[in-house]
Amino acid sequence: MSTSSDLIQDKSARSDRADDHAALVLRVDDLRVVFEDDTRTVTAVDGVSFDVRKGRTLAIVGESGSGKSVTSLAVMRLLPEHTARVSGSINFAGRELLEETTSGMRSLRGNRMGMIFQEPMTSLNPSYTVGEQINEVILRHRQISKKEATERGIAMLKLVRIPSPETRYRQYPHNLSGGMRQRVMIAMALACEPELLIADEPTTALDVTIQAQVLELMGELRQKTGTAIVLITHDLGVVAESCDDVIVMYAGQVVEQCSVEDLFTFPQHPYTVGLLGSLPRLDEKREQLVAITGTVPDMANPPSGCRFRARCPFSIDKCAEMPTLMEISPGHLSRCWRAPLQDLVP
Amino acid sequence: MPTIATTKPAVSPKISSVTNFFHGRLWRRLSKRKSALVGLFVVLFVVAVAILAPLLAPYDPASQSWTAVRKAPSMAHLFGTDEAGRDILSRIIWGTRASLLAGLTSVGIAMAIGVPLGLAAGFLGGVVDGFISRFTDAMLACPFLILAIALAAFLGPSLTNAMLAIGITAMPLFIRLTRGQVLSIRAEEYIEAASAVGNPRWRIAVRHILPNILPQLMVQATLTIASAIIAEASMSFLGLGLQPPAPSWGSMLNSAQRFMSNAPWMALWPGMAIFMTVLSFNLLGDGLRDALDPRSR
Repeated sequence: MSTSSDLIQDKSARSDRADDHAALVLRVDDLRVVFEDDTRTVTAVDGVSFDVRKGRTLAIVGESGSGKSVTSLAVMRLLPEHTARVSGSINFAGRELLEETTSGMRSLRGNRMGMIFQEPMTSLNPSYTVGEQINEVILRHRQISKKEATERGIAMLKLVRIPSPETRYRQYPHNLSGGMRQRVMIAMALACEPELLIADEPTTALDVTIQAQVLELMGELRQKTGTAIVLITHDLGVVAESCDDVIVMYAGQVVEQCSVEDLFTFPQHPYTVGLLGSLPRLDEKREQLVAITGTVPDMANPPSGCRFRARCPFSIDKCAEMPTLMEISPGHLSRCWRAPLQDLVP
Repeated sequence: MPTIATTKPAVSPKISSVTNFFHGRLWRRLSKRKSALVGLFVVLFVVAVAILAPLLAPYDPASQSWTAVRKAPSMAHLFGTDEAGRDILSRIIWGTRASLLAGLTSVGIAMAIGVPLGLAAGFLGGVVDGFISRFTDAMLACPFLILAIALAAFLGPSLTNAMLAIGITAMPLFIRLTRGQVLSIRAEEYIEAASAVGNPRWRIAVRHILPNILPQLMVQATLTIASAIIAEASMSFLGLGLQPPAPSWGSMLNSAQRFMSNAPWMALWPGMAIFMTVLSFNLLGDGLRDALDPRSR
C-alpha cells in the first residue's frame, strides 16, 4: 500500500480500510478552538481533522499563529478552560477526550500520551534534579517502588543516549546542555511508554547538529516502541527528514494534507508552494529565496473566502468563496479552487 | 515611622532558585558583599546572645537595687543602671530575646497565612484572586505601624498579642509578593510540562511553583523581620508590647525618655541595640536580594 493513501479523510474510504483502523491511535475530527475575552473572539483552530496511526509520524506544519500549537494543546486538553472553547471530536484510543473528566485526563497525560516542549532550557523545573523529575512521572502512573522507578529512570536516560546516566540522574537541569535537556524531556515523555507523543517544535531551540541527533533519536524510539508521533514544526527540513504524513496549516485551517513524498514533489496549495520556495536548497541554484508576501491575517476577523487569497499569486474571483478541503489525488487533499496546480506552476 | 522595604519582583525566576542556594552559589555571591557579611555576622551574634542570655547576663535583669539607681557606666555596670537600679547590660541582653522572638514569630505568622493565600490568588486566579487581592490592597492602604498598633490595642497589651498584630499587619506583603511571583513562574514552560505529565493542580502549586519562589520569600522575610523588630520596639515603647518589669528594648527607651538629660545612657544602649539589629537584618536582606538577582554579579 502506498503511503499516500494512508490518510484519506473521505468517510467512505475510511471504512474500507479495516486494517488501518486497528492501528489508529488518534482521530481528530472537525476540531475548533475559539478564544474569547471581553473584547474579541479569535478562532485559532477552525475545523481541523486528522488521523495518527501507530508507529507513524504526522507533521503539522505552519508559520507562527497558524494554530498548530493550539491544536496540540487542545489534544492534551491543556488549554485554559475558562478562555478557550474547544469543540469537535478528539478520539484517543477509543476514548473521547473532550468528554473525559479532569482526573481521567490526568491519568492519560504523561502515561498514555506524552508531550515534548519547544524550549528545553525552560521546560525542566530548576528546583529539582533530573532524576526527581523523571521519578515523579513514573511514580504518578506506575504502581512501583521508588527504587524500581529510579532504575527505570536511569534506563530511560540510557535509552536517550545520555552519557553517564547515573551521574546525570542526580544533577540539576542547569548542569545540562540544551540538547541534553531535550533528551531528558524525551526520556520523561517516553518513561511510561505512551501510545502518542506530541512534540511541539522539539528541535527549534537546538543547534543544527543536535537537531539531527534528537530527530534521529525520536525516529529510533518510535521504531522500538511503536509510539505514534505528532511533530509540530515550521521547519520543512525536519518534515522531510523524519515524517510520514503532513498537514499544512494556515490561519487555523488545514490547507493541504498528504504524504511527505507528495508534499515535496507535488505541492497542491499555493501556500505550500510558497513555503517550499522559501526553503534554501543545495541542489538547485537560486539567486534569491522567495518570500511569501504579506502577513498572516488577523484571526479576530478573518477575511471572507480563502484565507490565503490576499497573498496568493494564483488567486481568481472564485477565491472570494471559501474553498473546501478537496481530494486532488488519492490521499492528497488541498483547500484550493485552482488545484491541481501542476499546470499553473511554471 | 518605619516603612517596610519590599523586594523587587523583577528578580528573574529562571536563574535564581533554591538550587543556587543549595549549591553554594548563593553563598559565594553573598560572601563577595562586605555589607551583607557584616549584616550576617551581627545577626548571628544577636541570635547567639539571645540563646545564651542566661549565661551572658551579669545580673538578673529584673532585680532592683535602690543603692544603684541611674548609675553611669562603670566596671560594675558596664552599660550603667536604670531608674530602679537594674543593670542595663543584662536588660539589653535579655531584651534580645523579646526583639528576636517578635521579629521571627510575627514574620512566621505573616508567612504562614500570607504565602498560602498568595499562592491561591496567583494560581487559581478569577474570583479567588479578586477577593484576596482587594483584601490585600485594603490592608496595605493603612500605614503598617498604625494598623499594628490599632490591632494590638484591640487585642490587649502583651508580647503575644503584639506579635500577632505585627504578623497580621505584615501578611499582605507576603500575599502580594507570593501572588506576583506565582504569576511569573506559572507562565514558565516547566509548569505546563508538569501538567502535561498528569500532575494535579495542588501538586503543581505546592511542589513545582512554591520551591521556585522561596528565594524571593526569604529576602522579603529577612527585610520584614527588621521592620517587625522596630514595630515591636515601638509598641513596647507605647506600653502595648512586653509588660514591665520584663526587659524589652522599646519599654527601656520609654522609661529612659524621662531621664534623657541626667541619664542619657539609659536611652543610648537600647537605641543602639535596636539600630544595630535592624540595620544588620536590612544589610543581610539587601545582600540576599542582590546575590539572588542574576543581573548583578
